[in-house]
Amino acid sequence: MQKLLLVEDNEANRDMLSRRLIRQKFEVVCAIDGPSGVAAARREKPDLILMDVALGAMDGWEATRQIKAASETADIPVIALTAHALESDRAKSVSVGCADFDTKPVDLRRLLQKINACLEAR
Amino acid sequence: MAFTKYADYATQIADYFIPPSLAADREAKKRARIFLYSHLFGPFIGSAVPLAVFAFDSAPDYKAGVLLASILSFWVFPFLLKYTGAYRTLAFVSIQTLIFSILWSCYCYGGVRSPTLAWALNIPLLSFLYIGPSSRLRLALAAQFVVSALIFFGVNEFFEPPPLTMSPIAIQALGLISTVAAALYVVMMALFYANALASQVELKAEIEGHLRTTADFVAATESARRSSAAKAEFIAKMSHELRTPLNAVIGYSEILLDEAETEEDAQSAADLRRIHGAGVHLLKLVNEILDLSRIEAGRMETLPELVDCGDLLRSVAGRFAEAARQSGTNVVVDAAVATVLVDGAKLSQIVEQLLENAIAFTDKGQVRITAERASEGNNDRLLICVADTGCGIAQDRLEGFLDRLETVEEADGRQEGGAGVGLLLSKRLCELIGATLSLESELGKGTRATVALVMPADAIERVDSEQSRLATVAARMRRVDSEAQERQVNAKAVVG
Repeated sequence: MQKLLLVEDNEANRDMLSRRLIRQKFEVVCAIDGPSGVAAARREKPDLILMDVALGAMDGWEATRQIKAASETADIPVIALTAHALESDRAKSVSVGCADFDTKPVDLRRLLQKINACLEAR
Repeated sequence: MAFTKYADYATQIADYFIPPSLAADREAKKRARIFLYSHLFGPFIGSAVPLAVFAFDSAPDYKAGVLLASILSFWVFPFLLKYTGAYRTLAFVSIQTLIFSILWSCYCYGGVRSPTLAWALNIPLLSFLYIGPSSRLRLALAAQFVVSALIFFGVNEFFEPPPLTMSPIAIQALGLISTVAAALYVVMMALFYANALASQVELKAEIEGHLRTTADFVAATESARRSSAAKAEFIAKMSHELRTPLNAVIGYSEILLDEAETEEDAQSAADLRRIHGAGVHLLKLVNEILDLSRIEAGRMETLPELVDCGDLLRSVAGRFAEAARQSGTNVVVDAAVATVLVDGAKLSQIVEQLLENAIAFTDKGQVRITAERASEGNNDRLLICVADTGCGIAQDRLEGFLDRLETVEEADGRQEGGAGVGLLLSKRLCELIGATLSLESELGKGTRATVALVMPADAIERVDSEQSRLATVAARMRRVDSEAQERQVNAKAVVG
């Protein structure tokens, strides 16, 4: 079973998305903010990280940058989840090293395609 | 400065005579003022000469009267100017009158040795002041002066000047008064001229006017910017506030729907599908309104990139496979165009909207998506068509259809309103990426929406060269790859 790390500060979103991903036969671990997300990435060694970018003090971009900078977590693909489908978000997700990005609210089918594409590419 | 104060009074008087036709142009107004100064105040100084003749001549006759009359006639000019506005003609007539007065006094009082000849110096001075920088007019005035002088010398030569009836002392006194008056006159004109040059009255008024206008513009721009920024911020905030609960509605209804389907609870599944569908629909509207407001606020970015047109259209069509299947409609993609330079995300959004509409208004028919390149002058155009065999739009409704924001379903349930928010957004997105969106339709036969993307010829060349560059890079990488493989094989062979 493949392990996903979901970094999301909104409780309802976290609950929803993790439950739906578990139904899709993934193992899901959650983190509620940037620093705990970086720590969880190091501790859990997930196969893929779903990173909300609007996380408060340390945002998802910064957390991704730290995950990509640490050698033991650098290879884990990160999919950024943003509220808006802005070009600047897309450019930024590429610049910090995200494998892909998607918009919230999540279209599960589309997100699953992206997750599977990233996992296959590993 | 005292003179400035008096000069300002003089200016007020002079301005009374300036006709509106001259008042508009600052240079013309300045010259007219100088003309009026000399005509209003010059006769006071100039009439000193005939008055001196009357005082010193033992038997003053018509000659002094003619001189006085010609000098006083200058007072008529301001009125002529005010009521005719014929400045240039009056300037020539005035100079001619001046030449006549001076030469007449010289002729009558001493010929070429006349003490009043000093006044002749004023002729070129005034000519210059009245006419301004036009060399053609200066030449005309110079000719006028030369002709007058020739006539004077001719008359002087052939007709004996009248005998002087003044004593040598009186002649000397006349000469003194005349010279002083002429000097005074020159000084007066010089002062007025300097004052006119330095006069900042108009300039100041003009600058103040401009500053006021500028301030108004700045204030208006600032207030527009503030209100637009406030509007954009409000919409961004509102859309965020709307998305969060919508998120929960969509997500949880999806979970429940999944469970209901697993448990084969058909009634709950149907209800949940409606809740989920309504949530998705509402979210789409929120996103469209947000996008529209972003475009209107000029905050929608575009990112042109090399896009495989066929891939893009097929992937859009793929996303609507389920919806097409449900309406029994067959979606066909026929793209004869390869790579184009365009904002792919926006183009996808536009085609998605067109396809969604096409499928919604087609029942058991066909939707064809085509892409082709059409040349037109120096520009190439990429034409993307979404043509359906649906209900179509009546001709009278088609005019301005894309600009009317109507609900898709009218009150009576007919599925033929105006453009919804989505179609209006598509039109705006088209404008944003440099394309036009047009609709052709026939009631009962179907609708064809065309996105015409204008691409300058050099853009296509750029695309071509970019493609060949990429191809070169790819070939090089393949070569490196195969060389590396070869080396690996060789290495293995060595190790083996």
